[in-house]
Amino acid sequence: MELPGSGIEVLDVYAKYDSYYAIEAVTVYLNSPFYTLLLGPNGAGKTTLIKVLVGLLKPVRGRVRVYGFDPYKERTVLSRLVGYLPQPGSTRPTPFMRVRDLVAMGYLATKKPPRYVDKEVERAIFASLRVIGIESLADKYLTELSGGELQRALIASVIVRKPKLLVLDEPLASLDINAKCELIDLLLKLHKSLGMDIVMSTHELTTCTYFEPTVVLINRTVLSYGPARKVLTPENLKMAYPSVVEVGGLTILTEDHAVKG
Amino acid sequence: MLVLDTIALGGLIAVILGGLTFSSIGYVLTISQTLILAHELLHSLLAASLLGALIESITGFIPMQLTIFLYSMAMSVLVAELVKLKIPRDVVVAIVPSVSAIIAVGSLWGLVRISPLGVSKALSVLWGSVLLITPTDLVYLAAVAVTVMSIIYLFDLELKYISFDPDLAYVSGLNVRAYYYLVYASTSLSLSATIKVFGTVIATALIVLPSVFSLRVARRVNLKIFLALGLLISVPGYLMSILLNIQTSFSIGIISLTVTLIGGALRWSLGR
Repeated sequence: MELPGSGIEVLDVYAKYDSYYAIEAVTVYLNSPFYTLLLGPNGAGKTTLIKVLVGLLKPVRGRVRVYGFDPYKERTVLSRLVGYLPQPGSTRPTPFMRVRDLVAMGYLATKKPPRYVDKEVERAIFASLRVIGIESLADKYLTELSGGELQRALIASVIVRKPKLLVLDEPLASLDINAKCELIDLLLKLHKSLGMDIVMSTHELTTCTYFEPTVVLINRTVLSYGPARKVLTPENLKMAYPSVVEVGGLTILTEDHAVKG
Repeated sequence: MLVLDTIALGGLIAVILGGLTFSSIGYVLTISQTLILAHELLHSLLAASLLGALIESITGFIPMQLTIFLYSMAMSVLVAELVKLKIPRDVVVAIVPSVSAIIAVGSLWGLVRISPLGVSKALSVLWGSVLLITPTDLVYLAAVAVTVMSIIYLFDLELKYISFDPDLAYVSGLNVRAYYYLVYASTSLSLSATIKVFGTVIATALIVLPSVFSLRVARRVNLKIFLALGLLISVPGYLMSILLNIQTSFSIGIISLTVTLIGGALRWSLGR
């Protein structure tokens, strides 16, 4: 499929909930291929920006394009290109749904009804589970999974339709350090071997982030973006995290709250 | 000895179809995690039934079932749209029963005033009239049972997916609002078909209690458990009402409550 745009274009975007502006004057350009972290404290507008990118929230001002498509108006086209992983706590695992059902719907949602699992879908489900390494969990119910396993099942459900872009909202939250590193390894593998673009919000830089992503430093507006080593300077971090302190030449983030305007 | 004459056989078919319909819709409401909707709907059900009886008495040709369907549908949509407009859910939940209570009282007053049979009609709305079921009612009931089960067969995965995360489902390409409306429509349709058999009072128990039982006892829930429960409650309830010569909805209610209590005890004894 010929895409009209080469990546993500966010130009002077404002978005709000009721009367509160969660992000203001946000401008970012990301050209494919990219592996990008949206970094900022809690309440900085990372989730809001993600919702704008996947078409869940209509900006009140500004221009957003994902591979040339308007995410709010051209959702049907973008649903085939974009895989979205919601915040772990926002999902409601039930005793009715198995991992294979979740992955099946990830594949079938972009198709027209009636949607049923035939041999082709079954093959796609297991190929996806194999990539993520959770084939053995196929028949487990979602309520029987750990936090890390649920995250992996979700990723399998999204990559099953081979999206161009994977957007993940705080995927590292509530995972232990080992699970975080495994997830980051997995995302890097998807980025490098399958060529998926990645946008992932996080409020932390874990010790296992041993490669250099593009970083978008955000606190209601974009403070800086570019390669990590250029963005993650003490000056920028002080701007993003108001209670940053320096001790013996080390920059330490002590609090995790956004600047309230 | 129990003799199943034509009327009793009609009643038995009605409770079997009604039990299957109620358990199917209970399953839909449970997998879509909208049992709260059922609660709101059932608050409005008395008003819908009394209004339906009043309109049927006045016009003579608009069946009660149509009014129940339209009223339930309107209330479901009202709740959904008000919540979407960011009106707090508890406020919305308070509005629906209040409006419905006013309509119920007004309809009851009208029914008693305009029709000499108003009181008995109102009472039959409350506790159902399984032995007065007509062949037309049975056909309607069968059609609704088949429709609801077809909806489950066709959209089971979608409803579970939306219930898991509506935002994820929306971004993945599903028309989430359309599926919610499908749930409202099938619930309203089921209620409109079954009220004449079971009455408004016991409808609550038949939709909610089997769901509660399943969620309490089973680690893995599927439609078969719900259908089995529907039959386990409705058929013995009906037979008990004939044997003891008591109101069918009352005996079904007793069985339903007993099954739920057994579920609670099982869960307790299994240590979950």
